[in-house]
Amino acid sequence: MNQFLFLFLLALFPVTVFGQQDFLLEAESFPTPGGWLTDQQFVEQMGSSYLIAHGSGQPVQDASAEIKLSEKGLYHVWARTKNWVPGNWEAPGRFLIEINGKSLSNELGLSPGWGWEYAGSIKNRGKTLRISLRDLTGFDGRCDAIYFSQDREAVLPDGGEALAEWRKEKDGSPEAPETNKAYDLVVTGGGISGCAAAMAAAERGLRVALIHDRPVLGGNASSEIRVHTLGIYGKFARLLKLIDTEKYPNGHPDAIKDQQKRDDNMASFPNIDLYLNWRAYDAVSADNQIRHVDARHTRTNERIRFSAPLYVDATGDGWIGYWAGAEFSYGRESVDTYGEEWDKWGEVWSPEEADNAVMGSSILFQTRVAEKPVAFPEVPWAAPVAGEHAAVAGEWYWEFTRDDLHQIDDAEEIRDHLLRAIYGSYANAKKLPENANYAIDWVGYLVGKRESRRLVGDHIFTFNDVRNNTPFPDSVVQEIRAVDVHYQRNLLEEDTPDFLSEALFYRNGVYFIPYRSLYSKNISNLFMAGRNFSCSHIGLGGPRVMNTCGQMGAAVGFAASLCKKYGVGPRAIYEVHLKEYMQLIEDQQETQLPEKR
Amino acid sequence: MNLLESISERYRKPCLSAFLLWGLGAWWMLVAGLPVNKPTHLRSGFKLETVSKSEGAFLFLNPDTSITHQMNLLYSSEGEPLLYYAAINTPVCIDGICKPVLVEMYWDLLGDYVGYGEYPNQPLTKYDHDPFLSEDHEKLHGLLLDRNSILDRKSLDDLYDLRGVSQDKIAYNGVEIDGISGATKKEITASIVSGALYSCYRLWYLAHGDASRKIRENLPAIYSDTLARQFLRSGQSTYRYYAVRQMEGADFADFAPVMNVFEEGNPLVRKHILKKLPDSLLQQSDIYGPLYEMFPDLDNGSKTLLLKKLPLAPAAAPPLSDHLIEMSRNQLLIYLKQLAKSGGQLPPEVRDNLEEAAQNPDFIYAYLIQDFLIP
Ligand SMILES: Cc1cc2nc3c(=O)[nH]c(=O)nc-3n(C[C@H](O)[C@H](O)[C@H](O)COP(=O)(O)OP(=O)(O)OC[C@H]3O[C@@H](n4cnc5c(N)ncnc54)[C@H](O)[C@@H]3O)c2cc1C
Repeated sequence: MNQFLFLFLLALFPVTVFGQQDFLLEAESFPTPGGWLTDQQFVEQMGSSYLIAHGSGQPVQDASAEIKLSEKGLYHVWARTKNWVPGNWEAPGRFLIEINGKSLSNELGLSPGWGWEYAGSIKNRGKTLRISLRDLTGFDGRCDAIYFSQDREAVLPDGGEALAEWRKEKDGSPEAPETNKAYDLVVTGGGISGCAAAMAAAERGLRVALIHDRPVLGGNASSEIRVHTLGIYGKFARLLKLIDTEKYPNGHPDAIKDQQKRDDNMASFPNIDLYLNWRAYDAVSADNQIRHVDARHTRTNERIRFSAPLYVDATGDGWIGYWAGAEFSYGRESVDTYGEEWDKWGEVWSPEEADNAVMGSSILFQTRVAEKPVAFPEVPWAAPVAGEHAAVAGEWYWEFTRDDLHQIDDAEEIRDHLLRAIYGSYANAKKLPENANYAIDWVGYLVGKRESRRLVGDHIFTFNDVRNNTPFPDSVVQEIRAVDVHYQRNLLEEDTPDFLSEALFYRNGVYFIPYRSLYSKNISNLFMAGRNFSCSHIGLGGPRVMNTCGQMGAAVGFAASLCKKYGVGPRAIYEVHLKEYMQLIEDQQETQLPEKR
Repeated sequence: MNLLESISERYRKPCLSAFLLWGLGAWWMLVAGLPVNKPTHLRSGFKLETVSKSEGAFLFLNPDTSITHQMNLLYSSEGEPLLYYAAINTPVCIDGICKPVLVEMYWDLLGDYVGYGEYPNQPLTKYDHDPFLSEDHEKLHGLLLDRNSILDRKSLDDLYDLRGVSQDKIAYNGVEIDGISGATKKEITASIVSGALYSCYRLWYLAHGDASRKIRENLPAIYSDTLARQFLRSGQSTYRYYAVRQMEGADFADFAPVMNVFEEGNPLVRKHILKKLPDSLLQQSDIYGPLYEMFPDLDNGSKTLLLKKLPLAPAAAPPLSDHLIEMSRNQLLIYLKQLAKSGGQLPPEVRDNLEEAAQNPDFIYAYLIQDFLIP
């Protein structure tokens, strides 16, 4: 659903009326979020989208909603929240619930781990109640939901299946989405790879749904994460230049300009239906074929079932494949698995035994020098991570990974660790007189990921394909960028902060990715593009940059058009229609782009 | 191939005098199997006082100049391989003007650069002929020590024009950027001796190119039990790492030196000790005892590995309950699983520690322990 329709619907129902003795108010559905931001990144782990008060130390504007409780009398109020850095200091993300301008008695955001905290009680006189979230710190307080009940002893499940069941019962939602939409191609994930896949398929006449869980497109390149695009364009410059970025420093505010360009260009493709703020949460397959993908709106929690003969997983995390039962890999393969040794770097390049020390995630931030001194609060809760490290600027190498952490399952912990690294290092730097005028302009709160699940295709792209410059009959993506693989510096220098990485580069001229790395080995109607394509850990090192990911997307989009033409799945394009496919990739370079709307 | 022909375009217009000088200097390569000068800089942990002899090891190539250099292996007074050494004489040319750069360079037995020495009459100089100041030497040494220097990924032309002036290729609207290859312009300039880019560049490639690779390849041939013991004792993390990787099961029986490395080494070395240590040894209390005692002081990765190995040393589990709140979520899960596996009654001190952690309002994973304690 587009944003305007969503706001329109919210405006139609400014007051939500509930007739029970209890009811659940989802924070992310507040019609007026104020300065609170929607965080949908960890739904699979903690159960829901939530609101986060991400103000870099400046308390954000209240979020508010109006409700009407039909039962008169005393209601108890709980918030599902967490203290995101428990310890011997004041919790960083404290907030209050206000009802009709009056705070409930308890501060919230105080207990470790996601769970319900008791906020206080109100007397309901049957009038409309204005519920507000009042941020007290600007340091990432979070609220998932607010629960009202007349029963002080109400038992509230903390998480997991129990919470999911309880939620369903409270909001009365049916098992399956009631809205169905059918397309020629369903692309999930609107990073550069997903956008490219959608454009290529759409311009060949396919009707495409692009499901993306943020309000803006581009993934790591978006104005919300702000990594600039690298890599060459291969045969797809025409399309990729519609969505790429300038080579500004990572974190640069010019990402906002490129965001506008990307969003405008994507909107000019008449065959693409954009589902922004929709997060896919399931993909159901039967007989190794995906039947549908279910998605939920990250704010309204409305649901849609998408069906199509073909699907693209461009989520970066391989979610669609994972849910559908596609083979996938995660972690660093042992050096012998594919023979990916590089003697010069040994273990930090490729380990003797497989492990989970994948390349880490990052959060970028941007500061500026103001005219006058700018204060920054004390952040004792960040010190255990930042230590003595002082910095007024970050970069790509502020990166966090650990063998015992999973880039998907533990993503919230990873994000929070990075926030502590940033605030702690910045606070240290601000203690120095020369940094008095520094001010924070922007800190990301979406985890910029490099590596997570990789879906397995008919070909697994490895270091050897780079080392040997392997030519393939189905080379559809090309790259000249060095293979660039990271390790954490503290592996070799123990005293280095654990959030700093080092990159190793192996350059070897032009190399190619075959089409066979772009569709699933065992799910017969699933393509993948972007960093979750079929590759090894080292294989990901070169082509994970966004123009290359975009090439993969475009290649997949064009393949989908031939799948439709012949009524076949992705593998048949390689086995039967390769000549026509390779010709199409050549010829499409001359295709006229659509007029901007 | 004619030497002059093989030198790239840039070096085509060398002035004759430089070549004469350079030719004159070449005799060093032939005669000097031993260093002539005291090294100006050596990586900490290395000394040269004890050299007893030098042996010609191999020739190595500088692909930029196509010049080959003689590599020598220096031996300690005990007759053990100590360091590799080469007398380097290489032309550095700017705008067609060449000058020879002469240094004595040293590598360790793994092929990592460790230091260099200057010839008193041929000091290193900058573009403007000023000799290197002591801070310039520091910088050069630091640069040469960096195996992963930005120089590895850049051609000279990428970075600077012929006068050594930045071309701002790595700026966006006048603001420095990285991303292109992992270092900002500031970092690059910070790591290079200003006015001596060419010398820095040439020397880095000499230190890290063919020479380094050949030394590495040569190591198995000279590796011995004595050297293995020396590597473990050396205090050099790369030596220790190499030694641990060469060890096989029974080699770990003499555990004291290994334990010493475990205590002093970096996380990578520790990881390898834990991975290679035979199960039969880890089951011995005199081995698992000291290892697990270090638990609270260890890096995260070693902690995880120790926890994963608890089934081999179940007796090490109870004392770890003193450190519950120092465990990450996933580590705690491994630990609790081990406690569950050991079955029967929990030892009272373990139970007390669990209960205390379960009630600790500041402990983020208290809930995991609460779940565990509920039967
Ligand atoms: C700090 C950092 C620096 C980097 N430096 C560079 C660089 O300089 N240049 C460069 O080109 N690359 C760089 N990279 C790598 C590059 O950004 C990634 O590899 C690239 O973004 C991969 O593109 P993608 O489209 O596969 O995934 P993404 O960009 O991650 O896009 C996937 C999108 O799918 C969405 N999504 C995920 N799950 C769902 C779901 N269930 N439903 C709906 N939507 C979903 C996500 O919100 C996300 O926006 C860097 C990465 C990081 C983190």
